Amino acid sequence: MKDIQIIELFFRRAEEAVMRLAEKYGAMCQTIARRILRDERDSEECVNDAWLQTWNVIPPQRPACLSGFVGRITRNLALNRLDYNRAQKRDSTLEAAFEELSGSLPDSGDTLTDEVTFHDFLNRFLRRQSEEHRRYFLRRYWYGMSVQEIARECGVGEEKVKSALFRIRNKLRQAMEEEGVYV
Amino acid sequence: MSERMYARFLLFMNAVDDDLLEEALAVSKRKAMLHWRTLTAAAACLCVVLGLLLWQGRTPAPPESGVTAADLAGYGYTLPLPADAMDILYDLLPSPSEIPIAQARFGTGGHAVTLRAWRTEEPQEIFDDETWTDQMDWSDGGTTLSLRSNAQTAQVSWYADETQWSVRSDMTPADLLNTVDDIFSVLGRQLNRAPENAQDVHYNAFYLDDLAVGETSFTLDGVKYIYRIAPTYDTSPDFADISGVEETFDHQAQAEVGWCPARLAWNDGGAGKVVWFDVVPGQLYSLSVEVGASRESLMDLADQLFLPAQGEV
Repeated sequence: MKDIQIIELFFRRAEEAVMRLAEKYGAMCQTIARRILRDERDSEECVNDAWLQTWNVIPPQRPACLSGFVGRITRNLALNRLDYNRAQKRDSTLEAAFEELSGSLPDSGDTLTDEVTFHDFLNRFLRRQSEEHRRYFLRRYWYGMSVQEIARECGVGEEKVKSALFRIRNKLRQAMEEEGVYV
Repeated sequence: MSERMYARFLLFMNAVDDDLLEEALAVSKRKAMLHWRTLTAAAACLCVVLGLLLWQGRTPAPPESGVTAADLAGYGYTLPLPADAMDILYDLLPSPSEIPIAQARFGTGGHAVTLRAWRTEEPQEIFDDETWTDQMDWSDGGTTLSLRSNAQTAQVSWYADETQWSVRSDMTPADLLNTVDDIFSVLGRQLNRAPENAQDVHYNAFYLDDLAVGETSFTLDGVKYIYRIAPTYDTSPDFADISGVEETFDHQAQAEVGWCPARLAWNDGGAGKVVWFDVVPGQLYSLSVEVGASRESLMDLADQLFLPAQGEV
């Protein structure tokens, strides 16, 4: 079923909407949650919560991209649950990916940048990148996808993705140093 | 992961705006638009060939500024001019960035027109300030346009593919919109929504009951049709009729255009209209005709014209 038809079911408050959404994006959302939580049961509960949250916000919202919309909701819900898994001393795939990024950033200085300033800095930086490079970067470090997955889903070679990630990491480090952003 | 590193991780994870996170998961343009790329490339080749043919067929006016189309091309500009453009003068104007604004002044239909384009990362105003008495903004074919006018001048602007476009002329707003429609067709895009074999096609935009309406009028097999589109935030089932046709009809019926609820009204062989509403992303449509109406003819053409604003993603 097309996204537009699924969204129309939500607008009609038809319970079939959730079933169709789960059919089309269940596997994708389960993967997103699993990369963050690793625990299968937690991931399932997280995805079910995502369907409920989607039901609560459509309408009035009309997502331009349904996959991105439910993927983002799932990711945020999974992050909220991450503390529990951390107590079990099990790092998630996403955390492992982030360590790769963190390792190429400047060391924290004496004066740390506050959350609001960092939020503003990071989004300005990301919006200056090409959409293609931004997509690779966020998929790798904010969704925990492997280089192979990104290359396959975006229809490009792995070397291209690796090269883009390398360049953006360097640009980010340079921008942080230039603006004195330390976290 | 240490507690210090985990704090950094959470800071990064919560710092990215929702729209960027959603964009990252959207179907890759490269993947989804592969066949469009081929078509675009073919269209671009066609534009170059047509442009060369048209250019060779004209006697260019003396280049006062000394700037040629080739100079513009050096900055990545190919200005799409209507087929009947005359006395073309190109220029490059300074801008706040390293990339200049490209300009073409030309004549068409006895009026002077100035077309400007600027490659920039966000929408910009690229003409001098003017006092406007009327203005409207609307979306059509995925592009947001703005029309500004006063008693002497009209201007249409839009931003697409990281380029700000703006056209200004002493034409009436309706005539300028037709010129913009010509420019769109050279760009390989579509502003009017007429069928391929339609004749006498005109595009217009105006406000109707506070709704910004894009209107295409055309003649098909000798019959004149008017097709309108307007975005709306009102999602009530009793959606608005934007056809502007108020007369009483012998027949009325409910139907569906695509998956959208539709209302029909017609007199056999006389006038008729069909109005429908696409709840996502909230778009009203109408198709009306003055003669030759029947339920079948209205529904057939409505189905043919309806192009969902939001395709599968």
